[in-house]
Amino acid sequence: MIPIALATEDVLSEAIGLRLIAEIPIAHSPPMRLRRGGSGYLRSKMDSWRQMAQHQLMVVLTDLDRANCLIEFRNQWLGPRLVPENLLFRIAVREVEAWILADHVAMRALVGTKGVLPTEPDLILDPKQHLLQLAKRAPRDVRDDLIRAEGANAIQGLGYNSRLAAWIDTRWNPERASRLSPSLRRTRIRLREAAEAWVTQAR
Amino acid sequence: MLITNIKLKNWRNFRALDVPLRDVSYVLGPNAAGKSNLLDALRFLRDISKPKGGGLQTAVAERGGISKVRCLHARQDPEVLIEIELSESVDEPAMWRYLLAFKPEGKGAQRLLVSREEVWRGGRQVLSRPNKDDLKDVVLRTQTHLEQIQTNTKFRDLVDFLGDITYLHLVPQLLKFSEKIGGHRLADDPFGQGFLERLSRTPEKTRNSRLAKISKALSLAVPQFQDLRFGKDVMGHPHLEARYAHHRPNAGWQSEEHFSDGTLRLLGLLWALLEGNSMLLLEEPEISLNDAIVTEIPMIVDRLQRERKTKRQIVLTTHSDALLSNPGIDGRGVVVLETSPQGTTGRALESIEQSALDAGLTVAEVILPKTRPAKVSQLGLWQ
Repeated sequence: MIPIALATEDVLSEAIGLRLIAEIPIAHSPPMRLRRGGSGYLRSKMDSWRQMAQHQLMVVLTDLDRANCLIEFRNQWLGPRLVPENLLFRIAVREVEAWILADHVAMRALVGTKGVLPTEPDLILDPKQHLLQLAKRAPRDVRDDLIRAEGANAIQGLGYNSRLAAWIDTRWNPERASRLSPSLRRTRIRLREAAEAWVTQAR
Repeated sequence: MLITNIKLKNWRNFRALDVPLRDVSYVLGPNAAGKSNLLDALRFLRDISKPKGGGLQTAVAERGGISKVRCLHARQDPEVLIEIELSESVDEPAMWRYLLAFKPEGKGAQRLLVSREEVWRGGRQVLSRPNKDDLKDVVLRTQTHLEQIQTNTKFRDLVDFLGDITYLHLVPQLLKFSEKIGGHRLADDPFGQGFLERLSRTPEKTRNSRLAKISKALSLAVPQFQDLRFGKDVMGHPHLEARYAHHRPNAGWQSEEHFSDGTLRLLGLLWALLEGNSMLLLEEPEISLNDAIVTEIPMIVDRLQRERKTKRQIVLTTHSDALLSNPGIDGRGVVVLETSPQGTTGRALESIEQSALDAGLTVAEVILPKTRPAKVSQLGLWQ
């Protein structure tokens, strides 16, 4: 059994991370989940993640957000030090919402037939806004969960996380989504490779 | 119907308060800021209006008399005042306005007298006291018209609304040890001592459907939990029983005294949410519950609201970071209590705080730090 830990910055990244880990074809433990809200926590614990990677597969999942360049972003987080082999630092371009948008079949099941789904979700500057715009035209119950009430002093609906996390659990398909999102595709490949490498090391 | 604004003067630790309320309101503040006292002002109106055993004198006496009810900071002006506005829905103009002010007589037996009582409907005044009769017979002023069926026909809807306000702050130990503690119970059982009798009085069909719903929620929230049922023992006492997945498949049912505090709290919370259509006051619903469950409370409340034809107003007090960490919480429903040597004041969010929420921050991030006492970090040095 491969021991795995998953560090994320929000509920949705965690839900996605769990799905990605679940599809690893090699026996692994239920992942240790590390999340405290916000990328600041994630970044401040970078040394801890490095240390933990000595004993398990350590998956760290974050969003690129508005940063310009993947490589620069990666260097900022990891610094010049050698990255431990079992530390998987993965970046969603630009947000995990882009990975969500990338599964068109599941998206249609969620938001219905209205609205245009992006064919290159990794190129969208603000995937979350894109998702919220789509949700505005979704069936009533989905809309009520995801979108804030008219005039409310809030950025999203109360059920944004609960509803999407449940949907990621049951409907969202990593394989399908990775066809449209290169950043997700790379993450899936790296996860599998790392798991295989762990087994080889163990032998 | 819902209360859209509440004003208090000299009520407990509020010398003056004037805050808006919404369909769901979150009352935040440091310890001893008066969160419970704000809820108590609404319970007080309920206690006056309730059809059985209501009335101003009883409501004040049950709170230990006027000296306990009145703000310590009220030096010059001895009058206590509660004023509320109500509408059909939250952004509509006020349909009802009710004002009640009372104070001791100032001489003799220091009877507690209504000094002002006003009811407005759609901008027109339908009651103004003291009136001619009050001036003739001062004893009339020992009662409000909320408690007078003969005189409140013009605002019976208002009286019914206030009389129906519910408050349930289930204290698991009181329920678990109810039989051993025995004895005294407070009117309306605010602490859930008689929760099981409450279930017992509910018509069977309604009870079963609510328990089935609650059972579904518990199976998500409580590990190994499988099933919930209601029954009576040989003595005829009502009991709740739960079954858990167990290494012995026929381990049997466990009754409520073996439930965990968290399970009972969650059960009480969900029951309160399902019961009735009236305004519901929740005091720190996060107590005993795991943060992961607490995080979901705003959503649970919202979902239940949506399913109902008549929306139910909810006012809840909380300290919980988890409860307020949902970025979907509407900042317009937040009431912040702030203490000072002159008593507590309260306010809605300021525009700079609103813009922080619009920028994607949560109420937990923006407001909760402000409710922390300034020197609290020194508490750890206590010895």
